[in-house]
Amino acid sequence: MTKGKNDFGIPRRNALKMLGLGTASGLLGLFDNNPAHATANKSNLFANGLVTEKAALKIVDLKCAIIGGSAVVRIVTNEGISGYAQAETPKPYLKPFVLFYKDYLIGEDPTNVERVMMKIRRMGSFKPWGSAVSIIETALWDIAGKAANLPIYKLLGGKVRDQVRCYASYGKGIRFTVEGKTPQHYRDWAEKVKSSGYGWEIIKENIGFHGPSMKNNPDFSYSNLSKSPDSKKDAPYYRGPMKATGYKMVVDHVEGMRKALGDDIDLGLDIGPGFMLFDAIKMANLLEPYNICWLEDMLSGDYTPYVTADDYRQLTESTSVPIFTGEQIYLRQNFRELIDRHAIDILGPDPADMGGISELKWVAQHADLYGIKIAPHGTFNGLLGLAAQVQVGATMPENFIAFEYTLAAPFWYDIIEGLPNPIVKDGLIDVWDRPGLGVNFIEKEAKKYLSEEDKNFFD
Amino acid sequence: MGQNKASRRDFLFKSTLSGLGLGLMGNNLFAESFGKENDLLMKAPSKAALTITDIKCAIIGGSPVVRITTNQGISGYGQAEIAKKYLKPFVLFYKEYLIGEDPTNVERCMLKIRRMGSFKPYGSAVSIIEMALWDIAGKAASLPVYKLLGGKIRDRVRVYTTAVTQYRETSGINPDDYAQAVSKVKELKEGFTIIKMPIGFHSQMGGKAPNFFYGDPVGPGNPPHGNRGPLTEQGLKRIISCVEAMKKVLGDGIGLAIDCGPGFMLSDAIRLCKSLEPYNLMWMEDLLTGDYRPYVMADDYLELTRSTSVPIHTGEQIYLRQNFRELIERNAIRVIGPDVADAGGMAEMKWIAEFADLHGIQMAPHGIYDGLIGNAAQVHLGAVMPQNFIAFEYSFATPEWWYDILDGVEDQVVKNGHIDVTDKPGLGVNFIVKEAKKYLSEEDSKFFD
Amino acid sequence: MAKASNNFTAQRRNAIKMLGLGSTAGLLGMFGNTPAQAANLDIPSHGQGISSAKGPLIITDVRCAIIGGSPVVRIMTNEGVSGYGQAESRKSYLKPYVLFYKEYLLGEDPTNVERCMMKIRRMGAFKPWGAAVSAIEMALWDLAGKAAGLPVYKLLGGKIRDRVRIYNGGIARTNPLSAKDTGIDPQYYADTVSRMKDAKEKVSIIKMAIGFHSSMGSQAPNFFYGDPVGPKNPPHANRGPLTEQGLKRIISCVEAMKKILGDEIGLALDCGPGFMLSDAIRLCKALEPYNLMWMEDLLTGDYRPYVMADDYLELTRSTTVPIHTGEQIYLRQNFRELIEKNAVRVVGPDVADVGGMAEIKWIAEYADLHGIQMAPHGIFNGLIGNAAQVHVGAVMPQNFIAFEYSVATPEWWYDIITGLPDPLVKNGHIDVWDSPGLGVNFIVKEAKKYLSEEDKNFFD
Repeated sequence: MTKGKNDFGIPRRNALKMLGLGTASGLLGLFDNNPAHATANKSNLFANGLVTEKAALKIVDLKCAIIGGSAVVRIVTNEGISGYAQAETPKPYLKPFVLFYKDYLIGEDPTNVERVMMKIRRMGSFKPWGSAVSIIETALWDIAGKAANLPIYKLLGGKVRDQVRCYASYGKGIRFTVEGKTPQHYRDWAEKVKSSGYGWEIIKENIGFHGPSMKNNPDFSYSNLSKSPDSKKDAPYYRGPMKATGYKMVVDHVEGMRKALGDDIDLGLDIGPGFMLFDAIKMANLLEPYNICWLEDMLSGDYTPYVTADDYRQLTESTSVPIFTGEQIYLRQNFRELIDRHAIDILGPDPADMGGISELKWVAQHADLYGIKIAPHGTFNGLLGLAAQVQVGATMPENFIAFEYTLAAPFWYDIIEGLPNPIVKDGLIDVWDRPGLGVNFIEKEAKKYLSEEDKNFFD
Repeated sequence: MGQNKASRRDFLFKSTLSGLGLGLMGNNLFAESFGKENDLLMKAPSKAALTITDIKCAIIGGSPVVRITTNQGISGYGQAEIAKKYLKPFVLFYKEYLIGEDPTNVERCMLKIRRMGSFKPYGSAVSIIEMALWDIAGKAASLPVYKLLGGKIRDRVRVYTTAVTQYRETSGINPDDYAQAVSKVKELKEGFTIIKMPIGFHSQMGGKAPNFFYGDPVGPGNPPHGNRGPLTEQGLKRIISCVEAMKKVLGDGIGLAIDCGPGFMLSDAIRLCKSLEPYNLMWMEDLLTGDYRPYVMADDYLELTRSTSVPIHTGEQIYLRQNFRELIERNAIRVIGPDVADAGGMAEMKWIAEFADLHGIQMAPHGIYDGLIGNAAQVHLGAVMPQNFIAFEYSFATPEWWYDILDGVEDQVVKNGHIDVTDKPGLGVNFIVKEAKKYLSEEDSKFFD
Repeated sequence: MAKASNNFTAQRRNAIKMLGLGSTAGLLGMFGNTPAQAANLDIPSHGQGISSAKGPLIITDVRCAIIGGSPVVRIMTNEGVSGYGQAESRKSYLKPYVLFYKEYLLGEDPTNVERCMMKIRRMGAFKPWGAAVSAIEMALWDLAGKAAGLPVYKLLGGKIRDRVRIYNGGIARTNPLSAKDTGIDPQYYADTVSRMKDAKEKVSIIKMAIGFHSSMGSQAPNFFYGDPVGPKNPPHANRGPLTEQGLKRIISCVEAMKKILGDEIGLALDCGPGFMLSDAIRLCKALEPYNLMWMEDLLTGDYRPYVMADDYLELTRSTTVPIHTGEQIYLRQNFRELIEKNAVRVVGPDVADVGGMAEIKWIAEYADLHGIQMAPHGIFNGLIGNAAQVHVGAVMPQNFIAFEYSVATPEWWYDIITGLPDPLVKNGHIDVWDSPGLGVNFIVKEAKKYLSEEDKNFFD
């Protein structure tokens, strides 16, 4: 996975001319910087350049395959350029959602990304129903970048940083579990974190209502909703008032982690949703001594189809611990109150759910205008998702902290090329310059993982 | 629409009446026309817990219908807006969460699944499942659903009609068209007391009227309500003259409301509303956001509402009470119009209506395409909503054979613009399985089994 | 001004690389994923990208020339590609301001526009002290577009409309160099809009200067309670309480204009700054029956280095006439209060004063999020300015009304620029073109004639 030294997508016309397929004068024209010669060729060096004799790029197909449980979209054009993007894993049910938009896309020029998005953007909603729209958007950018032979960041205003920071969240070998409750257990855990090889500067721990063991512990909250013995699947979460023993559970665990970790790694906590407002305030206040870099999703989060900005504002104002939310919110309109009421300290939208990468960038700028920070969600977005985060992360304003790093199942690393090796160094990822997302399928290998239904995906 | 079936419905009604003499409790009446499973309706609830055994979904005449089955043979039905043919996988998604649950603990079931939904159309599956749960709960208790929602406070529920059919028969952009359309509606035997008309960006006017807005109208390959932009003076005047033409026909005896957008810029909406103040409209709907806008923009509505005496209305695409919070607590609108098949269901609608009432806001539920089962749900709801209730948007069924495959629809006769509240158990409508089966697709052929 | 064909500069770079890389097999291998694609020989380029093998594009010089009174910025690079931007004409003092930023930009990669802007953006202020930054930003986009072989709109998200509406700006004014036509009575206003209505551009919206924004403020008798300041004062210096006669004069001029324009052509007014708040309220309410597009700059405006959002809020809430301001405001931060409080109904920043193209686009989106409309200022921005307005007008959201068209002065500007469609305006719109960068370029041989002695090396 070395950085490609070659230019991908060198204009075929140029190369062909080089191969002698063009006229001699055409070749001379290629070398010539002299305006006079250019004029002789009926063109002005600095003047109107795009070839107009061919029709614009057009979308001819929209495909979706479920690869390793992850919905992968492919937009196909009339000139052989394809764009790819990936939704959060696993969302295998996403396929019909994605294909729903096909008729609106066919015939459109994919390099006018906003125009295409204007057609479909409003037919989406909070997570997971904005996911299809979001990944279509990213695939359009992939095409626009490839067609222009530019990395996506160049189509988003250019990069302002050469490396993009990511942080450790869920995943094997990335964020380890504390195996017990003794100080030694915490020290062992801290040691693993520090020597993981990624060089994380920020790690995030699941805890409280977001930590499976805590939330099911009867000493954690007063919630005692009935459970049917015959039922097979429970809701993603419930809310409930905290018990004193619940607060203590959280504080003890955080104290253990902080003591073992020392002060040079930032510690974030994904802790909800589930808190009642005033419990959240109390919880945050109890955690203040431990230098937490953020408390995530206390009141709402995944599968919460609303925002409750005023409640967040009260929470945010009541504590010095930064309050964080946003992963399930769709479109800039739904971030508006959180931002313009200063209801939140840090926003964590997910480009694969909130409407796409340029939408993410816009919200980041909106937040920046109000002094609010941004740390995009993305823990399951896969390798294509990772590429998208790096490209857009390169363009984010000064309020950007880091994005949530994503692992993929091992086979993915065999079927995708273009990522640097190693991907993360000292918690940072180098921004690459390859066109579009800058990563591509190694089709021969990838085909092995297509289902029967999807077998024509790469054709 | 349903007028053509009047004779058949009358017949059913009369034959039902004659059967009344046989069993005044009303129970035996239904045994013959329903399928075998409905025999159990009338028995005392089994001592064993009622549990959900399956969730099925069929697309009947383009309309998604959910059926929840139980271990005691009782089934409940719910229906979503027609033209949501893609809804089936959404509905089936919740199956795993609900199998084994007791459907008569409606709220407990809903706590499991409610948050896995969103703005229209992504809250529709959850909403119609909720509807079906109430249907079961009612049947299991041998009670009409309104009895499980606090009891009725009115005996008949007002409806309003949106004159889409009549409007579509015109060219759709001139005052004469509008006058014609409302004239026809006025003549209908239902005796509607409130009529709503699509206009502006919510109608053909937005794309077809010349020099309507500063922008180039989007083409037909676009999703609905794609036009949006600054209004021209001619556009403003066109709307005013259409309203004027309608008022001439309707006078002050029939209320007039208009469904306008989405698509207007805020300042244009302000100017438009103020210009229409003399016409005493019931409300102006969806000026800024609306169908297929997955956000609320309460602050903008607040500006608009404060600027005019015309009641500002929105809400059809909004999901759950949480997303109505800003609109209601800040009095950002004067009338809300959620749809029972999109907002999260019947109990949700009732709660939102009460929350609105607490803030002096009125209630006019959306529902034009919710079908006959949808209508039934609306009637139960309409019976229990507080006094801020204006009317619900009546749904004519399409295709027309819907009137042939449902029993209980004779109760949905509109008289003097109202529907009488029925006392039949559950939602009060049930499939005549033998007839309904004819319209099932191959894929759905086992729906009633 | 015919459209020409390819920009060979980027191709030349690629071509040299190609040669350096040797074998044809290697070349073919770079074609793409499948043999089918490699064999497809007929694929036009939609942009030629930047070679990363030879190193990035680097800024080597920043120059400024005053051409026909208009400050023109040129940013030069190590690969021979240049980008141009233009500020409002009559800002001949701007040159040293522009050159001030040179040191910050030398060595930067101009195709990372935001990175360059992050360096210099905050060193600017309300009009005219944001003009240099804005013109530089424009030139950076021109460069980025040319280097990529793409029209700038493609670097700003892609166009959402194929033609961009204008409003009259400098069309058919008797004195095109002046924002103010002279004249203070209804007949004059009727004649002027009549002329504009008949002009070949066929605009659908006409804006007229009136009140304190026109000679009415200083020359109409008994217009306001104050003594008008003399001609040696800066522009828009008159300010004060309105008399009843002043109020009625404005109303009758509007009435006269509406008689000519009917409801077919939108009418907007540029009024101040200079009005007192309560006078503005009364004036607006009096003009409500005329369904004006907007009333501009009643309270603040040109050469007022502040916003006064709260006052605008009062005014906006008091009337259905859309209230408009913004031409002198710099950066999105200074629009925040106006927009988040809905203190105006229409904002009118100027791309050559607000901080540039990406900035004005962002502000338009921010405004749209709040239900506010967009009508950019730009009457003196010249031909390069027009080009920038067209590109950014192509990408603005649906709250975009029209931009203020700039007639180039002196007229010889049309002789030294190539790339604009001809005629430029058709039925009140300008068609969006596809040539790289801003799509306008100097015909150097001709343009040189108009360079001052000091600027004579500008095009070298």
